[in-house]
Amino acid sequence: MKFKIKISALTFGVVSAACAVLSQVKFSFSPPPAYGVCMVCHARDLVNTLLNRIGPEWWEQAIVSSVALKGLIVTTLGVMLGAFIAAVISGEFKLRFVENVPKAAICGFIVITAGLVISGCPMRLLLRTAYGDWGAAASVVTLILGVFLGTLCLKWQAKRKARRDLKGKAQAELPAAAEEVAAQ
Amino acid sequence: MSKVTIVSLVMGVIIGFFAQRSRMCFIGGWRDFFLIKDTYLLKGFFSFVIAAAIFFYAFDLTGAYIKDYPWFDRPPAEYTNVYDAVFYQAEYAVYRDLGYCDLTFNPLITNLEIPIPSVHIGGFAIPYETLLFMGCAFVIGFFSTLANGCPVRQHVMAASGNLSSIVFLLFFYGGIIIYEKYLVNIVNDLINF
Repeated sequence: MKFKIKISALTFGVVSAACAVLSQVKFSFSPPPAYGVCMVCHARDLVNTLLNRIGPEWWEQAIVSSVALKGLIVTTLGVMLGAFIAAVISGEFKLRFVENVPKAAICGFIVITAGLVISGCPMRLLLRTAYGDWGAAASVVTLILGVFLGTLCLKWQAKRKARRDLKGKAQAELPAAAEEVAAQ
Repeated sequence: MSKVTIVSLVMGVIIGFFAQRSRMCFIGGWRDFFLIKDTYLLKGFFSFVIAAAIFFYAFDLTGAYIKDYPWFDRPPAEYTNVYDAVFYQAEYAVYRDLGYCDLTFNPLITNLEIPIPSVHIGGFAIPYETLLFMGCAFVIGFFSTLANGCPVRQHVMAASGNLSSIVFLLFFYGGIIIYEKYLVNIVNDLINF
């Protein structure tokens, strides 16, 4: 039985901000400051803590945040669990490939590397901005600039694909018109 | 199971549930706005930062202990083992302190008073670190857009069965191992300049 609960993005913003702030203020997710929720930092703490504890030969002890010393941080796993429950309840769970797989792999590696340098994901950049970190606010501006250029790239890719599809269709159906398009 | 584990799991489940039902994405908000002038996800973006600012301020007014809040007005730290990237007035003495990330392995207590290398613009000195962080934020914005979502959205999509997002996350978590093993020293040298 599918059960669809409608939640607006505005509600998500308020609830997740409350979770992030409460984590720090009431449940001592600090230091570091503004650490209530972060997909990059908490993922780093999870991986480093696990590998530090298991201690394979090829792994040198990695540094973790002060919060991770108190226990295993499983925020990212919790996000996946909550999303899985929501998807199953609403009947939206479906295994499928959506994006180009090599592109997803490269983007995943680059995003985590850049995120580890700044020790934050977009969510934590916003949380740090709310905390009063002007460096984070400046980083949010450049983040938006990056999104803008990424959007231009997506538009260019879509136009290129549309031109190629049109060219292919024209060549199949209208040879004379296809020659004209090819000449252009 | 420690308190930190339980709290992080509960908060994660709440955020994941709400993110899946709302289709929320911090990168997608701006992408949709630039493409089709749709502001649905942008409302989530702004509501998050405004609500967080209000909640922090409200808790501060009630007297709750919030370390170094607000960040721009925190007392100078003389002996912490933290490093940070901030804008600062060029004529003030600067020192290095680990701020927002506070990574720790062996506790290092340092008492550094070293001017941070920076670019001087209009009376302000912008540290090279800040420029590096702004550059990395740009990279995150660009490549997250190409990947069709921010890290939160990728986790949500992976949990909803999107196999491309699962590949993203495999290289996301694998990238942590590669970074910690091979890249962390290079980056630390870059940040320390």
